[in-house]
Amino acid sequence: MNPIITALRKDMLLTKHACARIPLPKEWTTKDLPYSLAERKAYAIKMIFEQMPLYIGEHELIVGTRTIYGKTDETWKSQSCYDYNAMPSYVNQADIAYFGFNHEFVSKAHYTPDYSIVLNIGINGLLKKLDDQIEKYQLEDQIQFAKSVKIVYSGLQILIKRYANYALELAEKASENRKKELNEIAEVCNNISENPASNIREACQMFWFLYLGTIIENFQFVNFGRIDQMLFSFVKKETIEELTELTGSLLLKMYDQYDLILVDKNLMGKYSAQHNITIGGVKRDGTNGCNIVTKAILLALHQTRLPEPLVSVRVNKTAPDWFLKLASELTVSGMNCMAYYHDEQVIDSLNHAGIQLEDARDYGFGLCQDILIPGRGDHYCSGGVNLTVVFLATLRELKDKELTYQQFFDSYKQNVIREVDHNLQAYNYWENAILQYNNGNKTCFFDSMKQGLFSPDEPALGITSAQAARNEQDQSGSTELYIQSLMSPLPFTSAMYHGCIDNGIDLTRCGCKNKDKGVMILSPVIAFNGLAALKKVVFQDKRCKLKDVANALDQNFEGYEVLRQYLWNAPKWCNDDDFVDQDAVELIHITAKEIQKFKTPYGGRHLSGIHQPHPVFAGRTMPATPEGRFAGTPIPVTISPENGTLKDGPAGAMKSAAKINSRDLQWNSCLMLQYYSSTFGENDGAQKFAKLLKAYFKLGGVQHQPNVVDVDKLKDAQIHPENYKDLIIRMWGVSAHFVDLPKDVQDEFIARFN
Amino acid sequence: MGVIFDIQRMSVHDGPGLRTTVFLKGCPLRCKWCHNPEGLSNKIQLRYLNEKCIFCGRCAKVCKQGVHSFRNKQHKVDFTKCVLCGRCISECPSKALDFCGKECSPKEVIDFVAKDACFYDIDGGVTFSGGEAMQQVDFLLALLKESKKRKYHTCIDTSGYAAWHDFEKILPYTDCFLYDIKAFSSQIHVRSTGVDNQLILDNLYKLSNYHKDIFIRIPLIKEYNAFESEIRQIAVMLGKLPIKGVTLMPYHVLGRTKRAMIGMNQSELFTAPSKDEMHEFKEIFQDNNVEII
Repeated sequence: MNPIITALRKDMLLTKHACARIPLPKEWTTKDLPYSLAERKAYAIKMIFEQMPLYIGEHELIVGTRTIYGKTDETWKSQSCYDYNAMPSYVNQADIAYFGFNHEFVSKAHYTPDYSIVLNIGINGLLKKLDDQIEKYQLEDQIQFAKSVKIVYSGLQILIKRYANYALELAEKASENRKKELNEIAEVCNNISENPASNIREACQMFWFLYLGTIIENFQFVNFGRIDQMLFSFVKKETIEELTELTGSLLLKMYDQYDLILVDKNLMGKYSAQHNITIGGVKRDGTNGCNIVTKAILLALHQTRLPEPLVSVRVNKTAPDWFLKLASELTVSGMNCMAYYHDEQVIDSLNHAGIQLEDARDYGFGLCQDILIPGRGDHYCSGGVNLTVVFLATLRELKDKELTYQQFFDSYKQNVIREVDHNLQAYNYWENAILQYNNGNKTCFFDSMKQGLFSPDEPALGITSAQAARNEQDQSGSTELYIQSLMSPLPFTSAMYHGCIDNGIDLTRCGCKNKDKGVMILSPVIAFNGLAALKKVVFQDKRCKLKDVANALDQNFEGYEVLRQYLWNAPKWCNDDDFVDQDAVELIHITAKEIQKFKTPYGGRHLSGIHQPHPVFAGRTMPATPEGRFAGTPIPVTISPENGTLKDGPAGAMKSAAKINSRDLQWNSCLMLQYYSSTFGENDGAQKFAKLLKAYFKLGGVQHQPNVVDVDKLKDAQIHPENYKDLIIRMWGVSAHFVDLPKDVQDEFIARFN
Repeated sequence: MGVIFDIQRMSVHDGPGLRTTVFLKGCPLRCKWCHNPEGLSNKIQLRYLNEKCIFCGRCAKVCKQGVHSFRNKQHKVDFTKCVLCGRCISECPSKALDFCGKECSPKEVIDFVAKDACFYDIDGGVTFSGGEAMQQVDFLLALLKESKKRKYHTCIDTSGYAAWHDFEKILPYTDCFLYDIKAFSSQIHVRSTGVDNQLILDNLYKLSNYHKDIFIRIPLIKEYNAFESEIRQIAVMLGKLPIKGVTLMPYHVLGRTKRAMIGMNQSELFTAPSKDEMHEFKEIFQDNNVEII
């Protein structure tokens, strides 16, 4: 164990840095400044950079902590439902009158910038570039955008210089050893406050400040991207030990906010950033991307052992042997925050959908394991289709008809297609209005809105169940909109997206280079199993009519237990049974094909993916379903098995999952499986896991999220949480310490082993 | 044709690599702690899972033999009356009833096994377990030949209690053995399994001349074999044989609940060695140059 990592980890878990946190002072505002909305927002962010309290922990080498949080008491309700939403007010009455709505504190987040843009040219370089661009821009909006970016980065410059001075101040009173370290911190900060990072230490520190800036601007949910690729170019002669210590410090920093609490404590019990790092894979030119930084990160993860960041592992045939070996060792040891990707397949699918090969090779991850192109393609999100909701509607529509199974299935597919068309059309109206707005035709936006072609509060339709956890907050009286809005530009993040500065267009207005968007296919497994249950019980065994199933669902199966048992014991997805799998694969194919038919007004593609919503929350809003599931109970994560239906273990699940045509999905899909830790408990456990994974990929599988746990320990942890503080589990796109979770979420997880 | 009672997909504990394990029905031993009681009889049996039953009574209605009866939310199953017609099984909505055991041709079995061949890589493959796989030696031979036709790595999990000439039959088609040693002392063996172990030990000596991979498995039960002197004798014996290693398997209670499902009486409860004792036993093997797996 590296002593620095050990000390930092201890401090992090004690959240020593929390003492520096203050609530955002209520009087901070920029709304009355005589500037454009974009600039006022930029000044609001700058205000935080200039005045945020500083904190340097006693063992830290990489510094910078989020020290401002939003207040969540009664009077602040309209502004923020989360501890971590904090932004001085910048919207004034004139803005609200102009737009006809108020989106002051919204961000959809889910971004993964390309931090290397600023790492490589430095803040001064960026400011210079912006000055040049201002000369070239034609439109007032473009100039305002460039100015807003200048404002936030000059703010960041101030924050970094403040840290340099603070380090010097602390150095005066420090011990000899620490004095040297603090002076180094000051030197590093002084240099990167102006210039590009000149070595790996400076790159790590600058990376962290850039991340801090984006998270302050977006409140939450911004990802790290391919950090091994970004940092590698700064490596000179550092040893693997030095790099492990440095990347370990950075990984621990990524847990900076874990003490901040959600207003809705039911979701996770506490904050979950869900932030993702991507490692491995190939470079933009197609050659092996695993490097000494990749290795250092894997070695550091063996020591940091925290539920976050989530680690997305791109497994490519070009990778050296140590790569999958070190990752598998983490997995079988219970680091349940890893997700594995079949690299060649993902690249092929992105490329086949029309994304340039170089960009496809450069994919990374957003929240919930959404695939995106860091700093180039912002895929979240143009809408969704909930296959279970449409399935239930179809059942109701057809319940009195005399049909064959095939006729029923065909009608269902037609309904799915209609739902996709409707929702993507609405998104395209919104994006078209934004496009016109960017080109100076501002009336189109307001006219389309008046005509009801889209709602500015909900540009992407059909994703309700993915946001179920958030929707529940409506009951507490405050809503958090999870969208992009003309009223909430993101100048800081925009600068780290290719294309925004060239085009003079903010990221929230589709300014980045690639215009592609992701579409959520939701709750597919309930639909797969529902179809199979109807096929078997109603159409094949003729035990009842469609109407009887509909009635049973209306009663949540009360008085229909015998029927429910027949439905529940019909064949199920993830058991390598073509009775289910054939129609399931076709359903995904038809849905994906329909999604991919559409282009966005900017010429991007709609990419399809099976999103990973919260199984407990999404389940709560879902009524009883025809495969025998009761209303309100959990639903499975993307294409993972429904709890209690896995008969043949991982092999059956993997074979079913691999039947889905990998080119149907570009944006997300997840096969999450639970393993008893005894499965890989022997000495060659990691090797066995790696073999299983490789075999699954060879079959055509694309993604795997393993959980390796001892169920007895989980049960014991519910009784004696104090003994299991380090027990990590993965629930959907999120990992957490098991003992921190609310009881119903814990129960859902244990039920996966039934 | 032969009778099997389960096929376990992706098993990781039954030999090298990732494997598929086929369980053959029928066993000549009657180990007191048996973990797989459904493998004892070589006949197909009715099986009833109480936790799954919703007491709807449909089985009683279709059964002509009067196997099923219901009183006060209790489902009584008279296994002795069952003629295996299967009517109750196909009518049961909750799958509380099924057949334990199925008659299959070797090709049927290996066709099913083939579904998992994609996971085998170079070391994985198919394992035949039981019951005692050697009990149905001709069926086993056919299974092995069918497996080898498809180039699968083959492994047999055996108690060793079978005629040597039966072993000679299957040897050419077997790559690896999981070989159980339950005791060194003959008395302990008879007392705990109902049979003497001379044949088992003789077969092991003979087998060790054939350059096959042999992994020894030892169940540890305090009431029978899990004490120092017995373990030492086993370790000394194994130390002289060219085996790959030993897996120590402390007693667990899993098999007990399975007995009631097929109408057997509950077995006695035994004790597993403590962690410290396990550690001590491991050291004894290591002292005798036997690798612990």
